[in-house]
Amino acid sequence: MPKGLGEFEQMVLLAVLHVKGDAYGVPIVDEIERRTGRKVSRAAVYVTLRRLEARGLVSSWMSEPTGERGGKSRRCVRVEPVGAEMLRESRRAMESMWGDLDPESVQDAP
Amino acid sequence: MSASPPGPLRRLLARALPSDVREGIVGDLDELYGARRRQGGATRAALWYAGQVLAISGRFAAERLRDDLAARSSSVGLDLKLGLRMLVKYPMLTLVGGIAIAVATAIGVGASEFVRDLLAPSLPLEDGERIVRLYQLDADAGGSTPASLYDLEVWRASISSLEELGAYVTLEQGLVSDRGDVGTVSLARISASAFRMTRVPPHLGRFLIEADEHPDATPVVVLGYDAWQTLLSGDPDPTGRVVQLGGMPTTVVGVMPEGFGFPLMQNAWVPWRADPADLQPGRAPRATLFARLAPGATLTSAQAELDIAGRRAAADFPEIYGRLSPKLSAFARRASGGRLALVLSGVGLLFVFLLVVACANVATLVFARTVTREGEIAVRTSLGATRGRIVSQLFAEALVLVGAATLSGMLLTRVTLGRIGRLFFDVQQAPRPPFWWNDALSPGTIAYAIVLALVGALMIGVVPALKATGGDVQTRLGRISAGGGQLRFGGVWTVVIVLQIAISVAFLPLAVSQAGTAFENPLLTGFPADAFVTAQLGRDPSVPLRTEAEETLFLEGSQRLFQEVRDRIATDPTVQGVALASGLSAMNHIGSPVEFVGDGSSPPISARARTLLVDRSYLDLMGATPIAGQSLGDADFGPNTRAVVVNQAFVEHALGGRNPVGGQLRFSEREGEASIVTTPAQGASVDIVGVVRNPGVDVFGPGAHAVIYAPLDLAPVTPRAVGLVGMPQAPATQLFLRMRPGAPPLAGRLYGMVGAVDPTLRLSEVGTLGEAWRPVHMGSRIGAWIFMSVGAIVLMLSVAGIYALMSFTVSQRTREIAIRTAVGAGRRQIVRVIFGRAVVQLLAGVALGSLVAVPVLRDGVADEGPGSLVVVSTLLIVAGLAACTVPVRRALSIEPAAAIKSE
Repeated sequence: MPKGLGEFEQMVLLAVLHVKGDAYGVPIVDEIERRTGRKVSRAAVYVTLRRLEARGLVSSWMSEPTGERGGKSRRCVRVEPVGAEMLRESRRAMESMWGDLDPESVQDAP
Repeated sequence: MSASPPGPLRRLLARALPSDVREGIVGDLDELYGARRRQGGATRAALWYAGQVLAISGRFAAERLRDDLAARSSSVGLDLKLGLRMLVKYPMLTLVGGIAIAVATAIGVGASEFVRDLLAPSLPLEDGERIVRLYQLDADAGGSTPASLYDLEVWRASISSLEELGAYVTLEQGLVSDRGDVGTVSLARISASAFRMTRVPPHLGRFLIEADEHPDATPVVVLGYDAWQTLLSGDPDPTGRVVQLGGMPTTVVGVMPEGFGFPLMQNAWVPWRADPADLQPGRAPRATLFARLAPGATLTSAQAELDIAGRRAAADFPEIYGRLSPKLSAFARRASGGRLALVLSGVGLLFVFLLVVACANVATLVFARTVTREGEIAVRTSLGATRGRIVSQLFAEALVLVGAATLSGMLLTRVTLGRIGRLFFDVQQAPRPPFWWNDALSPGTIAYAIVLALVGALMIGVVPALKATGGDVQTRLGRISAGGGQLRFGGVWTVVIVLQIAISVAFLPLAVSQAGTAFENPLLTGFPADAFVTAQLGRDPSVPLRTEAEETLFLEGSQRLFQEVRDRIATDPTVQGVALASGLSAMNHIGSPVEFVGDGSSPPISARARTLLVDRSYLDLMGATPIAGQSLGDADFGPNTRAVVVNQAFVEHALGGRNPVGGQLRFSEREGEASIVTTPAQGASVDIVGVVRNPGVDVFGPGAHAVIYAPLDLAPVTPRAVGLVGMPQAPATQLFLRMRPGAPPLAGRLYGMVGAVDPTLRLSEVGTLGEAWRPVHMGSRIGAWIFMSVGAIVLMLSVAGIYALMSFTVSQRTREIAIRTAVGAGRRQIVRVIFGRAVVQLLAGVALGSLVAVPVLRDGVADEGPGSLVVVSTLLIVAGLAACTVPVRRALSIEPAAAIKSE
């Protein structure tokens, strides 16, 4: 049985999906920070992307070299179908756990 | 101006990143650095960049570490699985190596645990390590001596580091229940504080209290669980029942729970009622003292207080206490830390030696196996496996073998340790092991075995692996593809073969010889040992002799008292005969030097013989009838006696068959032996008046020992000579009874008969001669089995090792043999060359081993030694030559053309 996705892994995968155009390190980090309002460790994002790729949930390719990057290529990422399925599964699991709980009433529970 | 990040940081980042993500991440940071530099300036951008480099490098380093650990743990698992497969794939190696290591482990672990339990056990009582034993160190005697009840009184009042101080003596006592059940109990006359100190509540009723110690209190006894079960049939309400204990009506007040045996293995406790008049320095009864360390006190603080008390006593009573210094130690500890460490390291060395011998042999076999896997190893190396990886795989394989063997060895120890312990205490003639004796292996011993297993695995796995993986891969592959390996059993292996044979030849005949001696039991089988009852007769240690005059009086009267006991027992209708002899303490006595002076026509003969002092009835009772001269007659017993008789074994072993009747014997110097009653005085000269048959059994145990029988009156009787001074239990003598066939057991009544002659006399170690000696015999048999097992394993390993070594050294020369054949060498010549070398190695080993074995065997008494030397040598030579045969035949059958072609 494949290992489920951690919270941070879900964020990274969702960020990849949200980014318009080529998704690579810089916009992925920006996307997470913009949507969550939290500072994110760039190192953690790179390590997570590498692990997700090793698990086959994302794949990557090198873009054409660009001048603004000192002639270096971008490592662009895309979510693979299996990664998308695991994201859906994670969401289902969460929704099932929430069920008909009212998010507003959770804090009032004893 | 360049917008690139600082070069060194950039290089550092590039180096820290894995190659697959390097370009992407470095590019990302370049991009971000450029943007930041434009917004905030070069310095701020550089600082930010440095922070990112550190964070990302650290993160990826941690990631790499995690991956490495995960990979390693999975490869360890794989290696262990391969190791298990190897065990199955090479069953002979598994069996031979496994048994050898398991037995070496069992012996080593068992011996180490046994010594630990014997010398420094832990008491299975609450805070048992805080229970201490107190004694006096005697500067004159150079050893410890029991403290006295006077010391107890003084220390109770003055030592605050100790609480519940008390004293005990132990003795065996006959017990007759109110319903007529008779038995013997191991009794402790003990202070009531013992029970509070041990913190063990009674199973039934109560334990002893201080009021019981009052001289006018009703005599009471607390019984142990087993005594309650056997003598009171486990009566659920035993309190209040009155039993006869040593002939005295005594009320049972309680039963202690199962397993409780304080102070040693007692199963009955009576209060110690000391007469206050006895509590004088130098006169108070001696006893073993015990106490519990008070809360917060340590051994050191208690010892410091004892030192002060000792100095005070020495100042008050210099004659008595001047040479004594009070000491304390953990209660059951029988050796100081230093001595224990010495003994343990001695035992440890034995273990290490056994294990090294076993592992060295197994390593040889594993090396031979590794040779067959040389191709596999070379191919794996060429496919990228590092040397470390292959070595660790071979180590893991060895670890599986050694681990399984060590585990089996420890299980074997766990199963047998208890039995061996019980046998050991049987041999010591203790009714049962001390209450703290247990079969479990201590954590220290287990840790020790694990460490040695790892060392063994290193020897077995790593040494051959390093040899197999050394050198250049290309060369190895080349050689292997050409049909031959590069591994050679070179000069080192010649030395190994020679040493292997030498050790086997030196050790095995000794093992066979020792075992043969232990299995000899020519006399016990035909002798009605169970018809004889024997017991030690002495004084009750808790009834002190108050004055020196009393001591002298007792000494002078002791022989008369003992004879009175003998005569009284002789009147019992169930008894066929009774005799007295000097004590069984001579059990391990190796004999004293004596000089036989014949009629003057030949030089004196020096010999070693045991001397037994006997009464008028002893020789007749034991069936030692005269075969030359005469036996000891009435006239030989008296103050001026000089007559002795010797047995057949003495004539055969000591005199080489010469007729000694009419000759004289002189007792030589004592070699530091304590002067006990068993031997006449040094320099005494006696006349041999006869030679008697070897009796079936005597105090020296079964077997034909050279013995001189002298009249009991021959020994000098002084307080020091009989060990009365400082020793509560001496003097003692051994009582021998022959029961009439079919007579009921006598033990219970025997105590009554002795008590009736004198209530201060006591019997101990009552049992039949069979019971007395069978455990000793059994002990030596077990020793012989251990010796034989080790011997058999050495032989098995040697034969297997030599076969493997020989067969591999010869198979390595296959090509050489084929080429020799091709260039015209005759088959005969080749066989001579190959076998010649093997024979030289084998004979060199046999010669080297014989150098050790022959002189030792020459001194031995068993006849099996030389024969077994020949057998062992022949077996090893045959194994070695057989090992050469198969590869030589194979080599000779190769077509010369094929051999040259493959070259």
